[in-house]
Amino acid sequence: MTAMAEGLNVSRVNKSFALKESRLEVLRNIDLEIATGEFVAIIGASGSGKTTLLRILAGLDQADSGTIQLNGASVQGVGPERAMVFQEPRLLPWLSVEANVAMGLELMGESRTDALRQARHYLDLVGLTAFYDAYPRQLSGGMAQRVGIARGLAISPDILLLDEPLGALDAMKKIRMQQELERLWREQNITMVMVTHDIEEAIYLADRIVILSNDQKSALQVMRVDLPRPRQRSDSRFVAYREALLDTFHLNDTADADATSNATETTP
Amino acid sequence: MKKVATYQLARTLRFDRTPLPPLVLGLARACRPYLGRYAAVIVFFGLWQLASTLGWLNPAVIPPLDRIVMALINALQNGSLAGDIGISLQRSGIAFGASILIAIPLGLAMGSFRSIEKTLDPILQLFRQTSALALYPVFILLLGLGEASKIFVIFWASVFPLLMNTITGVQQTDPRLIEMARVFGASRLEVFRRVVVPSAIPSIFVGLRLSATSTLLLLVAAEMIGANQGIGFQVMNAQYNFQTPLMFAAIFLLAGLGLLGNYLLVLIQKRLCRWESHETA
Repeated sequence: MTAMAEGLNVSRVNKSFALKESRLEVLRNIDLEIATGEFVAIIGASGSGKTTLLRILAGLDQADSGTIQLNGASVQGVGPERAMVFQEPRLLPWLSVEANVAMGLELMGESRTDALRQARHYLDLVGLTAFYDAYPRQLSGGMAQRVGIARGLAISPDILLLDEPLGALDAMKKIRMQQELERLWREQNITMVMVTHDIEEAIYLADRIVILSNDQKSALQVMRVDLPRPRQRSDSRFVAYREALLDTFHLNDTADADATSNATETTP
Repeated sequence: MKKVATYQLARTLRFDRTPLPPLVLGLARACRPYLGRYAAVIVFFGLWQLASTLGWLNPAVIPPLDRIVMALINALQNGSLAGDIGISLQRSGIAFGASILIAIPLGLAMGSFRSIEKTLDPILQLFRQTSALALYPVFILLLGLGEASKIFVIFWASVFPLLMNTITGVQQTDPRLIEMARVFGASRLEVFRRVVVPSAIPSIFVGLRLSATSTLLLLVAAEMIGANQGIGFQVMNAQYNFQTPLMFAAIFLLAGLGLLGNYLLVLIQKRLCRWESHETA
């Protein structure tokens, strides 16, 4: 809890993957500081390494070089101070919803009763009070993802890592879930780092947007979103941020603008 | 059930316009879903009974069902089959139990550790592809003509389906679920206990049911070769003495045993895998 090193500090992180005959450099010299309680969105084209960066933060992948520090302490492997919400809900189909949420707590050594009690509390928070006993296959995609979020929050991490958690939802549900996520972030006073391919989602939720490009030579771009919350998608300043972000991806170029922007809109 | 069917038929054909008594009506209603499902079985036994009583088939070879049922009831009442049933259950029970005790732990280990699987797989494939019946003479030479060789040959046939399905079940565990458990701090042992084993259970039950079928198959074969007791022996013995009703009674007993075993396994599986049968929202 030293004042000098609060938050998450990523320094000179490199990562490459071995291909058949060459190496694919995914992340090069990534420097990033994330303050405690901040909401950071990471966007970028597919293959830009955004999920890899998140997996390194979670401890699921290891960086080739560089350091990651959380509140001044070096981060190695997985740890209960970092929780993850995956793109697919990844619930255990044989466990009830509450037992799924309780699992993380049980793995931290909580008794089953305590774990279940806390699990129910977090299920209440995500609006699933009526579904304690349901099995995952009885849930819709949005509900299953809420369980995933409750499971992440339940272990009271310092930082919640979200890997395109709303990517598979339809447009209406997505907007609902974005509002819910913002509410949870505010109420839980937690740091959230979310990978997304959805530019509007990033502007709606994030304090800062990190833009990863496929071009490894260029430095990491970071855009601060200075808009009061809750944000309105129709707000002219919101639209201006959207334009600016589209520009960084060269999606507003006149030549084949229509084709490319349509393509991004429909990316799964 | 047949009576109800006739009643129904009479109603539909309007031979009989008197209202049906409520009990019969209720029974008919309760039976209707089964009627469709087991129609083929009912027709098969109906034809059997007809063909045999009307003499289309030689009743000395294919006796009518009522005589078979009588033979079965008699044999059960005077206890002449009790010893055979007991010994058959003992043989198949010990062999099947040994299969469970060996195949499930070994399968879980082989599925979890690539090195164990790589080492054991070739020899197990060789064993598996060698017919248990072909090896029975070898087992007799090794273990004698008594119980040991019989139990061992049944065990040999029933252990492999369970082993293979346990290995498959473990290997088919969704790696994304394993990764999820790791993120939440699960050790290798916790991942095994909380993710791998539960996700292998449906496949293990497929193996158990296949094993149970093999158990019964080899039980009969073993009892037909060099046994003087057992249901399988009674099938042969009755045929030898031309007691065809008793022969069929023993065959029906074996079929019933198979159905009962399968039913019990399905019941246990439903209990353990309640999450599978829940309807989706």
